[in-house]
Amino acid sequence: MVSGGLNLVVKEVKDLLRDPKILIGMILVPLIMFPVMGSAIKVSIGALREAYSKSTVAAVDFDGGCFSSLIIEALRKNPSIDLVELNAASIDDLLAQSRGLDTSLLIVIPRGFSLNITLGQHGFIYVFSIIREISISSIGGGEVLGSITDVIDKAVSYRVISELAPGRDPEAVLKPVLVYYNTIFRGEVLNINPQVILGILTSQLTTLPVTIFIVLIFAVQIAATSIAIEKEQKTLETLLTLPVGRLTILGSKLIGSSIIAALGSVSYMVGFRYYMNSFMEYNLQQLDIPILSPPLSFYIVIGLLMFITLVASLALAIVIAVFAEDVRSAQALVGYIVPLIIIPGIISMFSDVNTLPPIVKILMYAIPFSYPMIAARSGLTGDYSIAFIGVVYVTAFTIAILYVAAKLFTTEKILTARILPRRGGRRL
Amino acid sequence: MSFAVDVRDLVKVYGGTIALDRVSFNVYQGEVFGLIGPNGAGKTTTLRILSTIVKPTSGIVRVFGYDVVSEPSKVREFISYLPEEAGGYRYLSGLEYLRFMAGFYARSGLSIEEMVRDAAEISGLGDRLKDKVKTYSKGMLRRLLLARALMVKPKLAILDEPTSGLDVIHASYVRKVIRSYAYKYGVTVIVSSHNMLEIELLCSRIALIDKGRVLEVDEPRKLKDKYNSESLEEVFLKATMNG
Repeated sequence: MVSGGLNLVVKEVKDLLRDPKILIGMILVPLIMFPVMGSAIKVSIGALREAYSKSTVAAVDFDGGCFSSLIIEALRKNPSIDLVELNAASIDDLLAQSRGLDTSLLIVIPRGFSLNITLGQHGFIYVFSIIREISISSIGGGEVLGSITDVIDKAVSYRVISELAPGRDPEAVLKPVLVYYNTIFRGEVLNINPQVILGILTSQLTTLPVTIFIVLIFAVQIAATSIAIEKEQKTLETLLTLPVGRLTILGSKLIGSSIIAALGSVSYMVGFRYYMNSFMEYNLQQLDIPILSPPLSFYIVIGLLMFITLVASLALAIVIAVFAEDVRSAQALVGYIVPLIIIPGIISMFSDVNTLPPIVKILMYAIPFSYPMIAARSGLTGDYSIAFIGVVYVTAFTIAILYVAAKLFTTEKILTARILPRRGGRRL
Repeated sequence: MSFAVDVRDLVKVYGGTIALDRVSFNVYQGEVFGLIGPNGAGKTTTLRILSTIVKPTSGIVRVFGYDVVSEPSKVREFISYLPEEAGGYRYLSGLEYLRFMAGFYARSGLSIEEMVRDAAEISGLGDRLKDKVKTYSKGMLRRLLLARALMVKPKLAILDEPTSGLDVIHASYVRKVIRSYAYKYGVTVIVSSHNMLEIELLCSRIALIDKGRVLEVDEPRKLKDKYNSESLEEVFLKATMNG
């Protein structure tokens, strides 16, 4: 005799896995979506870097003095600048000529520039930024502008300092104090500006909660649907008359849904890791700070917490779906627990739970679905204490929900519980 | 003669609604027994109680001597229930569905493959059993589910509106299978229907049920004689007027 429980689990997994909504939405999409997203980000970053690596700049020198020549020479020698020198009679003429050029920067050195500097006054330069399109690369043009003004400033400053104070190092005069930035991260000292590390970590902190709550919401919908379909098609009614215990049926439903949820989580984690690595790769190559990539322990601990939370959400969804008559009403009923997943997710994206007002903090810790998101955030800094508390708390919550589910399954409530009033029969 | 089913003073109340009001009837072993009544009469509730899905509010219900309330798991070993408008698992093939169901009943002398072979014969679906259930028409699905209910050779088959919503061809096929299967294997069958003609064709005895009360229990012919009627439909109308 085939074990009733095993028979049910196999059926559950087969039936769920073959449902295109689950197979594609929960398992294949994360495996495909994240690598595609990661590759797109990688390609975009690469393209931007390529674009910034060589900028075309047009310049016109109306001054013709020693300092203006110095600037033109510095721009010409700079490897990241492709200089186009123009001869124009006026600004209007210059603007007309620039229309045919593929440049977004025009530098105009007016007459009297060198004289002013020689006299110890400010020399004026006019820079025209041409906005041709509104895009990330156009906004990034600001970086190019900054680097070009640095080149100009440096060339003139060095000459002025060397004339005023011969024998002194112009660099030391301009920047008498040098600051060496260090960051201590996960107990390791890194010779890197904290801004750089925070920038990378912030991007991780905003993407993690979103992806976690998407998986949880999806799992809740799937579990509720799986029970509701049984009720809608009256397959549950048949199941309940089979020579197999009610708790075995409930257990098999949970195990079957959990297997699918685990497959979804693994697929999600694999996809997400690829996604993180695909854009971390660039920064790591540039900065050589592998510590910023979450370690394997992070994936194990957060993966475990995520799995337990998934089981909790599946059990809760099953309990809720018992009160639904069909798939549509089950979806509507589980809609009430979706905010319990989304709100902590959004809060986790923008804030550290410890900085929240006490009441919000208590609510965050009270909601079991918050834990993967809070723990993922603290886990990125190497602190797994919240994750371990979460494992205990969410497990306790799961057991309580399973108890309620068992009570429902062992009574006729599984079939008769409903939101709408019953029809037929006579009133007492 | 010992009863396959013994129902005495069965009452079921849902909230404040009386679904069954002191229902009593017996079913003999090996007979095909019919429950006739309009929609909402209490047929499905009675069958659900017999199938151990729903508990009675009061009264005694025994299946082959076992009480449905105190010994439900024992009762489930003897019965096979076909709910009204039941469905199959859409993403399993007909064969997978039958194998899945047979897995719960496979024991000495009755293997999964034997049951599936029987079910294939009962359903008459042939190669279509290899297709996913979601591709089946309503009639094909009903034949599959009936085959599922009968393949396990239960001591008591409980069939709720087995031909509901089927066209003439499928309905006739289902009736033929029930009749021949009950005769061949001596299976006791309880069938519910609001189709009086169908019940007359199938059942040796019937119970007329209306608004949760059993109005009459007897052979169709005797009831027609008693009410001096041509059809069971007429019997039912006269019985409800008297009741």
